[in-house]
Amino acid sequence: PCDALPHLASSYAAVNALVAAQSDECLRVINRPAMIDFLRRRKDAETGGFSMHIDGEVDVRGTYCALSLIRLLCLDCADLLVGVREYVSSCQTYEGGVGGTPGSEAHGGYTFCGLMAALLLDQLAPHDATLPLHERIGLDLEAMLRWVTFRQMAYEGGFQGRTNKLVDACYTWWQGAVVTTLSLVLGVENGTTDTRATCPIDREAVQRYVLVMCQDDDGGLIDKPGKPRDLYHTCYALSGLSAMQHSGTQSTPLVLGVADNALPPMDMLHGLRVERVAYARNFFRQQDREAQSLSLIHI
Amino acid sequence: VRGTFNQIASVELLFPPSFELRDRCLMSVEEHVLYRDRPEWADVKPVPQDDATAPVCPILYPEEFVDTMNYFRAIVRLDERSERALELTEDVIEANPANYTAWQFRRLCLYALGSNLAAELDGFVFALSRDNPKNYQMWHHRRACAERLSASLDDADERASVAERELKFCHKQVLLDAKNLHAWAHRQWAVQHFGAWSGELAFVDELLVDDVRNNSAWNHRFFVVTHQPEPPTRRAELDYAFAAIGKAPNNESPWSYARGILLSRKASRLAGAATPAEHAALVDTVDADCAGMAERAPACAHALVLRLDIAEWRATNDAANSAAHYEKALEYCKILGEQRDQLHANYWTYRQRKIQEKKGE
Repeated sequence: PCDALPHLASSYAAVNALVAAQSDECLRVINRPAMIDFLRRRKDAETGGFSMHIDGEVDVRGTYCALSLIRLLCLDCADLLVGVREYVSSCQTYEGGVGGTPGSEAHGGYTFCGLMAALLLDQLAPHDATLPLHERIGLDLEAMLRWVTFRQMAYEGGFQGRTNKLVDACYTWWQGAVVTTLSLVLGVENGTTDTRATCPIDREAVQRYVLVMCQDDDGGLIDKPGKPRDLYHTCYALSGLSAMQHSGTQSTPLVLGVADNALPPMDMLHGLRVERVAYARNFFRQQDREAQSLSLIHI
Repeated sequence: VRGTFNQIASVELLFPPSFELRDRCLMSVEEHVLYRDRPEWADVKPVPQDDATAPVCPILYPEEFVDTMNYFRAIVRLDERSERALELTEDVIEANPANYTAWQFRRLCLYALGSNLAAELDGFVFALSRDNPKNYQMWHHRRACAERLSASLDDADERASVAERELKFCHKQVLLDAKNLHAWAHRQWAVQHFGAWSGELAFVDELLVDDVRNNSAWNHRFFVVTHQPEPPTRRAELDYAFAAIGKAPNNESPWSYARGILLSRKASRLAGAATPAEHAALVDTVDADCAGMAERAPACAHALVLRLDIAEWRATNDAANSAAHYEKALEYCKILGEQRDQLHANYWTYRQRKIQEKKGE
């Protein structure tokens, strides 16, 4: 038995870790019906969002964690999606980014959560399939694109999390994934192959910041020079580096430095390597098919 | 700009150690007795952490931590919501302030014991907030306790004092870190929950005088003016923004704020410019101001960016002349991409393409 309360962030992280292993043994460990029950208990009917744990805080992180779990584990729970679109929409600010709660300041981490939650929702239950994506998503994607473009620091090359704040390598992922995804969804690069001439941000400048300024001498990555290394910054600086190398529209990645610097492409929605996500979803769909044919036999 | 010395001095002034807290601190350093050695805990069987057979990344917990957690696990399983359980949660939370299970169980104890929640907010939570200003659990606990405290009070004045306590607390935290997201979010919750709007614009003003680039303060201002019962006029808020722009023209915050006040549907509650004609007239004056600014401060791209947004807005709201407005918009994109904001050249090219598409339709 577990003596700590179940929590959405640890659930998200644990499942991502198991999926990253890309092993049937790891995937089999996940109790999917129990996960649906847990997510149901986290659903906050009043806001449409999700609380992080029992009697815990409700914000856009919880919404993202829940939706990522639902899609990654191929969970069947349409009732959990009610009100999500409106809640995420209410968290977008006049600046164009997304805050943690309605009214809160636009912030890179929460903008990632808001955008990806909205896109995950669109995959699971599109609001109105007759409308183009940017009209049915419930977010002003053009405003978001402008906001995130202006979050790249002219001098440092990396991203800041909020207007008039400092650069931090972890935003390479949060903001980097947002701009890469928006660019794709809005067709900013218009199918061209010369990303330097079309990408709204300077992807090489971001890569330069991470590689030149944010590597600890003893390994691992950091927020900015002078800060100590930690797993969080290592994870998101590297994930962000991948996002900055692969724009999604072109076949050849834009890799700063030697060819060895190239990282595998990431799935923007879940923050995992593309092939891991595909493997896991395929595994769970197969699990469902087997369960279905078993139940048919029993009839 | 606040220097390091000032910050340290501020912490000492804002968090004077009370006699009670000092006692507790001293005790925990010099006299901490392991729970397993306390006779009053002899009836409780400690529960070790279940790490299964071969933990992947075992943590080398200190003995004191293991002892505290073993007894916490036992108490939670027993669901014993007593005084001694409440005291135990203090040790657990001090050992790991991010232990959300302990914070939640602490609340259960407080509620079961009918504890004085005002004392909780002013005592334990306040003491812990000094070193944990960005801890999600601490802020959520404050909110939960303040909500429950307020709900238990019939007297409006008593409820107002609950609001006052939370606003004061947020104020202190913001003085220590002017951009603490949690503090600002908590303040927004408190202001809205208690309807305590009256001091907010003055509060924001104080912070912007100190640092006109504080985007958290600008964001809060936007929240206040778009939610408070008696909203100000758009004109007043635009004047405010442009006064700040005058101080630091390249400061993005007031430009975003001005754009939001002038053009965003979120600002539709604001007084003045109620009819489309009035709104258009207001847009005209702002456009003229921006034109003047763009001339006087050629290095400032923001003025031209707002003119671009205005031109696109006009193309939609003055459809009869949309072609002319789109032409202007395209012109601004060109100047921005080629001269005034070359850093974002690709973005302005994209904006141009979008305008062409709209023009085509």
